Amino acid sequence: MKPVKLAEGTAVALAQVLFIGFFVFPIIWIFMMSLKNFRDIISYPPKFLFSPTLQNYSETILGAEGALRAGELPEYVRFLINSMIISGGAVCLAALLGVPAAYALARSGIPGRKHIAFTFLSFRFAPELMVILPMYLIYTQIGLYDTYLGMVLSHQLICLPLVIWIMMSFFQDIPIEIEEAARVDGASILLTLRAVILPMSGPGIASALIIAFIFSWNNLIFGLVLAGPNTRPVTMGILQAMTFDQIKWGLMAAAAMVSALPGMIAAIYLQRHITRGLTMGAVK
Amino acid sequence: MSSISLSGVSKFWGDTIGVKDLSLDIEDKEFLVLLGPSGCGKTTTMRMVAGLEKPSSGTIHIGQRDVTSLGPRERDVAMVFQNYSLYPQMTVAQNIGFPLRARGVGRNEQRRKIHLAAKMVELSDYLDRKPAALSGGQRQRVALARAIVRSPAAFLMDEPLSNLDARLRISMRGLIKRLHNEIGTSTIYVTHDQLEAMTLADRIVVMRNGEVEQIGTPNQIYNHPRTAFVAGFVGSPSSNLLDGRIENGVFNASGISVAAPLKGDHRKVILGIRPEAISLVNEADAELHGTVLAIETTGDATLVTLSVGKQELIVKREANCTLEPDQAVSMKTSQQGFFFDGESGLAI
Ligand SMILES: Nc1ncnc2c1ncn2[C@@H]1O[C@H](COP(=O)(O)OP(=O)(O)O)[C@@H](O)[C@H]1O
Ligand SMILES: [Mg+2]
Repeated sequence: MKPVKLAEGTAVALAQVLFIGFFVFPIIWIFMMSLKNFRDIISYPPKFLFSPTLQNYSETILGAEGALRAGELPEYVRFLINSMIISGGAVCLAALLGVPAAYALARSGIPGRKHIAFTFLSFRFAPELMVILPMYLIYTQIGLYDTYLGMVLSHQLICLPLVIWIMMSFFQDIPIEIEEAARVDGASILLTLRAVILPMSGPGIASALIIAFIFSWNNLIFGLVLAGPNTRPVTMGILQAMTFDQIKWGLMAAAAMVSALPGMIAAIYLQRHITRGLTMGAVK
Repeated sequence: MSSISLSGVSKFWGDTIGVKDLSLDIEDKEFLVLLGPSGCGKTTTMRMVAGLEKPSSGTIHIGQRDVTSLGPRERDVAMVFQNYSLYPQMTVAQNIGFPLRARGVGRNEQRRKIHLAAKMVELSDYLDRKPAALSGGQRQRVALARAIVRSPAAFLMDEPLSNLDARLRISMRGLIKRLHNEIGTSTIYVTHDQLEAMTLADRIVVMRNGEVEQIGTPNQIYNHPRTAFVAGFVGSPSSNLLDGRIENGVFNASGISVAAPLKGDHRKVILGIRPEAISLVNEADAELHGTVLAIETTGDATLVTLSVGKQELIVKREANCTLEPDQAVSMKTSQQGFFFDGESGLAI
C-alpha cells in the first residue's frame, strides 16, 4: 500500500472511531450505570470494573416491594402501557388522516397545495413549548387533560406531519400513468386507491408509521405538561427517578435503557425502512 | 364498437400548443394511425379521446354520444400505454381482469373473459405471474389483453411498441394487426415510426406542430404526399427534399437540372425525390451531379450520401455498390419527383 493511502485509511478509521465513540459512549455509560449499585455509581474516579447487578431493572420493571404486595401494577409498567396506548393510537390516527391527505396533496390540483404541505411540515419546526401552554389551558378547560384522547390528539403534532410528508413523496414517485390506466379501465377513485395505490405503497406506509411511532414514543414535553397520573408515558417514567430528596441514578438509567429499547430495535431491524422514509421526505 | 369524431379540437397550455383545430372522423372498425415526429401532439390527441385531458375547445363524439365533458370512466375506451402501466402488485390474471372488476362483472364471467383474452395474446401460461417476472413483450401483451377483455367502444394505443427491441416489434405488430382483424374494434394508434404506420393503418393522419398535414390511406400518403413535410417523413429512408427554382419548365439548383411540368419562372420550388428513384447514368444524360460523401451498408442495400451543389442527397443502391468516397457521380431521376411550393410546402 502506498504511504498516502495508508495515512488516508488511518485518518478515516480514526474519524470513525471518534464519531462512533461520540454517539455510543453515552449509551454504554448509561448501560453500565444501570447495572451498578448506588455506591459504584457515585464512586469517583468512575469504576469500569464492578460486580453487575440486575437490582435496578427488577425494581424498575417489577416495582418496589411495597407496591407488589399491595397488588398494584408497578409504576413503570403503567408508564409503558400508557406509552403504547398513546403512541399506538397517535400513529393509527395519523395513518387514517395522513395517508389520504398525502394522496390528495400529491395528486390533486388544489391551488396552493405546496403551501399546504409545507404548513404541515412546519409544525415540526416550531418548538413544542410554543403551543404547549395554550394547549394546557384548553385541555384543562375541556377535560382533555390527562386523558388518552388528549394525548393522542396532541401527538398528532408529531405524527401527522411526518406521515403526510413521507407519504406525499412516496405517492409522487408512483407513475401517474398507472393511475390513469386505472381510470381508463373504469375504476373509481376509491377502487384505484384501494386496489392499485395502497398495495404499491406498503413499504412507504410502513416506514412512515415506524418513524412516527419512534418520534412519538421519545417525546417528553407533551407528557410532562398534558399528562397527569393516569396517562404518563415512559419518558416521564425516567424523570420519576428524581424524587425531591434524592436522584435514584440506577433506576433512572434502567428506565432509560428500557424505554430506549423500541427505538433501538427499530433502528437495527427496520433500518432500511427508516432511512428510506427519512430520505424520501428530505432528498427529493 | 363505434365511430369517433373530433371536430375543431384544440388543446393549449398557456402559450404551448398541444393540438390546434383538429377535425377527424374515425369510422367504425377503422384502424387509424396518428403519425408524426415527437412533440407534434399525437399523445395529446389520444389523451383527449380517452378523457384524460380536457380540450380547450371543440367537441368529441364517440358513437352518437357527445363525450367532451365526460371523464375516462364514462367513455368506454381502452388504452394501451407506451410504458405498459401494469399494476405491479397484481398477477397477470388480475391485471387483465381489472377493467371487469371495476365494472362489477361477476367472478365466473370474469374468469371466462380473462382466459379468452389471455389466449388471444398467447399468455395463458403466465396468468399467475406478477408483471415484474415478465419480459417487455409479455408485459405489452398483458396490456393488450387488459384492453380487449371488456370489448370497449374503441382502442387507443400510444406508441405501444416503442420500448421493445426490433424483432419483437415486428411480431407484436403482427399480433396487433391480427387482433384488429379478429375483433374489428375502431383503433387509434399513435406512432412516430412511419413503417409501423404503413403496415398497420387503414388510414394515416400525419401531424406536425399540433396540426394535421395529411389524412389518407398509406398508399395516398406514400404516393401523393400533400406537403413537403409528409414526403420528408415517410419512406425509409424518406424522400430527399431539394430547394431550387423553376426556369423554362426546368427545376434548377446548383448541380441539378430536372425537367418539371410546371409554369412560372423564378418560382421557388421544392423537389422531392425518393432515394430509390435515382439511377446512375453517364455524363451526357445526367440531371444531377454530385460527389460521394459517405457510404452506409444496411445489408440488403447501400445508402450513399452525396453532396449536390450545397445540398445533400441520399441514394439507395444495391448491396454490392462500388461507389467510393469523393467519387464524382452523374445521376438521373427514374421516377417523376414530387414538386412542392417553396413557400407553403404544398404539393403543386
Ligand atoms: N401537460 C402538459 N403541459 C404543457 N405542455 C404539454 C403538456 N403535455 C404536452 N405538452 C406539449 O404539447 C406538445 C405535444 O405533446 P405530445 O402530444 O405529447 O406530443 P407527441 O405525443 O406527438 O410526442 C408538446 O410540445 C408538449 O411539450
Ligand atoms: Mg407521445
